Amino acid sequence: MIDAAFDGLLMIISMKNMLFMTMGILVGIVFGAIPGLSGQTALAVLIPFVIGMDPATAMSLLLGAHVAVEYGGSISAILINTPGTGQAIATCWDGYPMAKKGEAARALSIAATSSAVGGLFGFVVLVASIPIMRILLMALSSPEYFIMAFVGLAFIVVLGGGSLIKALIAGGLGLMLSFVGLDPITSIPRYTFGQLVLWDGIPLIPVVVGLFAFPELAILMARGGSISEVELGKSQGRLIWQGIKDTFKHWWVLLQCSALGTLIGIVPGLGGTVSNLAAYGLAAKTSKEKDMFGKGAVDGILAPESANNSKEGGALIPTVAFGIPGSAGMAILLGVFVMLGLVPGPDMLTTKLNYTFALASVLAISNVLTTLVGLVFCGPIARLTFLPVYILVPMITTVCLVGSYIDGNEIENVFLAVGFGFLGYMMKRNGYSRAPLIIGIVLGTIVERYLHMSIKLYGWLFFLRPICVVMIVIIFATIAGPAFMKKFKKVSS
Amino acid sequence: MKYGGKLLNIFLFIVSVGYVLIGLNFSRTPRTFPLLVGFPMIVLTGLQTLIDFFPNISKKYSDLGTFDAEMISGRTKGQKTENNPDQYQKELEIFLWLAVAVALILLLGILFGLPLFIFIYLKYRYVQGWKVSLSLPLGALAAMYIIFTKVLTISLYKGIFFRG
Repeated sequence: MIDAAFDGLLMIISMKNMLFMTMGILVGIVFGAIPGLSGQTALAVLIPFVIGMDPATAMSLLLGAHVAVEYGGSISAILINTPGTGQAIATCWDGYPMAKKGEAARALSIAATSSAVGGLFGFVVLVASIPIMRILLMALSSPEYFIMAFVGLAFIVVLGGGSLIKALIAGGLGLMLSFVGLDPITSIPRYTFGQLVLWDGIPLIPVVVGLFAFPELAILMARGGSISEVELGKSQGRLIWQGIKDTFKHWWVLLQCSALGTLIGIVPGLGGTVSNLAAYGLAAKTSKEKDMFGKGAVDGILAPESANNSKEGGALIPTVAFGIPGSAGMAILLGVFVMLGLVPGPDMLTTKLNYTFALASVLAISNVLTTLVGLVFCGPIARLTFLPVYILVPMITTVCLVGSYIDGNEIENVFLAVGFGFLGYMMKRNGYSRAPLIIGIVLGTIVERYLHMSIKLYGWLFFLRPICVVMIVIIFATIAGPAFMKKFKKVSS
Repeated sequence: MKYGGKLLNIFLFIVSVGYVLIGLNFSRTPRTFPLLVGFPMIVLTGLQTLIDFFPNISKKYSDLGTFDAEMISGRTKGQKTENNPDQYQKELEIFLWLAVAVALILLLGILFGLPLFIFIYLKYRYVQGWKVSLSLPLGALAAMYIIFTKVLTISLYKGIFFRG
């Protein structure tokens, strides 16, 4: 295992990978800092560039961007009181008041340093969990993997919020789309309507671009103007060091919130916004400066920021080990891993263990790099929020359309992206979560393979195996549990 | 788009029914999982369509805790459903522009179609001056040529006019 760890680290540490990671980080920070453009949009824009790349470089670019989005979100939260991403909501509550006091640089420094510490905490937990995951995976076989995928889907559907039925429909639609193409067992074309281009299935990039980029652009375009009309504060470089010292002085809150973020990351479906808010709540209860909350408290900034980044390490555990992505961003990354030949599951902890360590290494390095890049470039990046929408929209549209085409060099993919864009927009406007759809598409083929393997090995009653029964109970409890509890309380009262 | 939600649900219901009908024609192995997903999808999309047309149905579930009226109808407490027709119209405009971009790509290819799209968009949608309207498309053309054609050596779609 130590060999694999070194191999993974060496895979990442090269000039080329560092360069791509830095590029990913810059893109991630920019997309995170611009309210309206999400982390998923950043991934959607970057994915086309990874075609033909070796997995290590692709991981460096994408995971770097994914990690950096969290910090980018805090830049606009602190400077203009507008969270760049949903994960930075709580950062506004103390970051902006601190900035208003003339200490924006200190707030940004606290956010950057605590993000790095949180990210490194998540990395340590991820690496420490690998031996345990290896033992756990040995006890499981295809029926358990099949059921586990549904556990993941159930968590995401229920915990994702909003309508249960709509979330189930979105997940089901994703699964239905994943069956387009050749059947993995018999190689019979399914739902291809005679189109050769569909034999390999529906390509992921146009779907991601359509679902996540175009709806955001539609809303951005309708809003018009520039993202921010608030005057930016002056740069205060001398306060950066003060922010770094503040972060480590409050080490207890930092550790508590990093641990909370990692735990939330492990549970699929909870995501960044929950970790951000929960960590803020925890800090508000345990902090020594409770009365400062809402007025520019150090703990009020470092708590949500450390939790945001530590959750990524936690989210990678179920993603890599079981193929259960913890969030929409992780679902997109999972799809790219599969595209690059890295199929999550036992292989990632046995024959491809070096890749898992490479992922962990990217996570650690990109967190540190994000902090450095973030502190140096936060001023110019914040100015991007003043960029007018009429420049942003055509530029991002161009990248998205070219990116869709590149996935297979098929012009049909451009139509597909626009079609999914419309579907994504309609889903967004009508309360459908788009994350279960992506997860359904990514998990569909994997789940189907496990289903056929399970039927062949154990017959149709494979789900009666003890671990499967426990998992089915978990699914049932997750979906129906809260309803029964409420009913029970009502009856007993 | 007053009926956007209803139309989407009807569309998804029809897709689910069509999906199952096509799936029934496959042999046993390829149809197993699609049908396992397809049948519940018909039920779910059918139920959602019914809820949309008869909102009172959802109220009957209100004593079921989590599965209460708000959850079934897709609205959570305090969440306002944006149903402003003007807003919809403004937002849907992007798809009109996407159609223009796709048409230009089909005719002129990616390398020339997309910069032309940016030019038309800036000049006619936002009435920008020549400086901005020309510099951005030319920048995009140069970036696409260098990144995709030269560095990544990808053959970009040439379009009907330039296919030769």
